[in-house]
Amino acid sequence: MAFNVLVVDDSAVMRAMVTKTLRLSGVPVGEVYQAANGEEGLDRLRDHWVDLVLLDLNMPQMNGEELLAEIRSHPDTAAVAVIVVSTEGSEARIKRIKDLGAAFVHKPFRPEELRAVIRDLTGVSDDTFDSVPAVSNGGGDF
Amino acid sequence: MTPSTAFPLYPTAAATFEELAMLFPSDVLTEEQQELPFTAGVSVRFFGPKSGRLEVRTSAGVVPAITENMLGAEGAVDPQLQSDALGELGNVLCGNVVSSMTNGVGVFHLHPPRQLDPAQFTDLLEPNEECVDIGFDEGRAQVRLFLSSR
Repeated sequence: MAFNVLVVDDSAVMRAMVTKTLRLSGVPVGEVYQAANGEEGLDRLRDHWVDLVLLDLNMPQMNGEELLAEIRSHPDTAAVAVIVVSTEGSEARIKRIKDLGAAFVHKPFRPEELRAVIRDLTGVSDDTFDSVPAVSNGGGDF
Repeated sequence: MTPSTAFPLYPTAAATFEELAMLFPSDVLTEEQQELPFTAGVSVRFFGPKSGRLEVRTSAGVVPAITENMLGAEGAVDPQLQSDALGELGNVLCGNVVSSMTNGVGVFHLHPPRQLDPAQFTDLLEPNEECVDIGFDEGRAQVRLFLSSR
């Protein structure tokens, strides 16, 4: 399987960097959608099938924590795998994120860290990752 | 460098430049590096268990290199993306610094990065302000941490 991914971050450069790191991780990637804030993220989720969401916390309009709560509150998206990618260091806030069933990756991060978190979160084994060629897609690149 | 904030700023700053922007830092600057003027800067204000701001200043050549490395692109990169890249580096650096200051206790709120006008830069340090210089093949950067309360 290849994961359809949504990257939510208010920085275009960070969205590109997350996408690049995801591709370098060896995780098979299908479509990559992008959003600059939580509201745009919800729009993308309504319009597309997404398997994995990578989202920042500090964003304008709707922050990552609010978006995560919205994702979990809708039956169509409640089970989507979510990884919060942030510099957040507050143990209390990270616990709140994990209590909502999301994983946490600290910025900056390496491809192998991302791969390990995705493996743990989705239950997809390394063997499965390695047996499926990543789908090249220009949608996440600039 | 002054010990006014009592926080080891250099290791966090150097690690962020290296891991996020893939620039290899040095705390020993050549005379040539020390004389390079700053041509860009960004400031991130934070509030929480401690409040203040973190500022990053860079000489010419550093921001294009940061941007190219973060994007995995080569050649000229759009100025808007360069501003975005410097802002994100400041944001990540500020997040890591404030987290380290309190060892994960308390929640900080970071303001969006604000681009600075290099013409307004001075060498003066305020009380409770710490400053470290970092050298790269591409030039130099200066990171300033100001704490408004302890």
